[in-house]
Amino acid sequence: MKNILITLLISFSAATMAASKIEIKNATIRLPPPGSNTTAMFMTIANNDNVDRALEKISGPISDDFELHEMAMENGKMSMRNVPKIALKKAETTTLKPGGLHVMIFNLKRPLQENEAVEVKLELDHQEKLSIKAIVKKDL
Amino acid sequence: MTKTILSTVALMAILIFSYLFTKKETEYNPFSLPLNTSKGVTTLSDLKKGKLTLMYFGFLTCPDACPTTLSTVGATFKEMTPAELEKINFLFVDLDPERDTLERLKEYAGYFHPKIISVSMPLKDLDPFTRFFGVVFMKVPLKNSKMGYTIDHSTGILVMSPDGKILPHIEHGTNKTVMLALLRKMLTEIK
Repeated sequence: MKNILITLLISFSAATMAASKIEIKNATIRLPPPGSNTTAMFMTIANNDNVDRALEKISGPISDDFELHEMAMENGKMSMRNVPKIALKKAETTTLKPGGLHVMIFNLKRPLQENEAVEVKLELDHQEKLSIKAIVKKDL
Repeated sequence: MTKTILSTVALMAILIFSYLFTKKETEYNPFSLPLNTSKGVTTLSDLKKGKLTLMYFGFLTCPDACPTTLSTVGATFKEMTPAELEKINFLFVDLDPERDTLERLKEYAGYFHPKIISVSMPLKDLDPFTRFFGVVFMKVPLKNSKMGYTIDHSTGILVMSPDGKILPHIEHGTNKTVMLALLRKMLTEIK
């Protein structure tokens, strides 16, 4: 039953994205360890358009505080900074992954369950909005 | 002439001061410092006896490096025998005492592996402690972020022999297979 639901959700989100030239794949949220209500979301974003775009805002019912962040490693020291937007170059794929660009999620309103599909909305610089489902994973 | 004298005096002052400061640092002994841990109050001196001691420095709002490392460590420990684990300490030293509590640290670290001991100390102790082990951390304010501030920090796992000697650290991003091999090799070397 659960599998059918997930399949339905995935096909549903794929259907909503079909019209867009921005394609989101493998959206995952790290299952936060107990003691932490902060986590991160990762995904790959393909910009199949012939103009540069940018990801500007993320929102969703699980939190009021989504932010775009970037990590950098320098001399064995890890640093993280929030960024106002993530550039999506034309005809290129941008990867949000551990150790690099990612979406931070603060102050989770409820505990997340492993393998659940979480609703997330992405807002792009040209007013386009995309609704996707991100899967909660324990190990990323 | 006066200039030369002045610069000589200045140079001497610098030398004296740096001598005094270096002296102070070499006298610092982190091994006898009482550590507030998830397993009670202890010291590095007591912990390290006959064991390989690993230390990782992080914080609870760390979204990436810390959970990634602790998750790999947990997975590696699950592959090890109880006898091997008996010879290892793993300390998760908190770099954000202003925000984190030992209670939450314990819950967090225990999730990755029960073997992981959380350590919390006030900032005034954290400064010389991290400096002694060559660990860098820095509180950085974040504008326009709910986080308020973040902590930039070293991400390698520090390794210490039973006699307190610092061994080559385990680099960030080391996978389970490599970490397991490294730990087993180090365990045979300390025997």
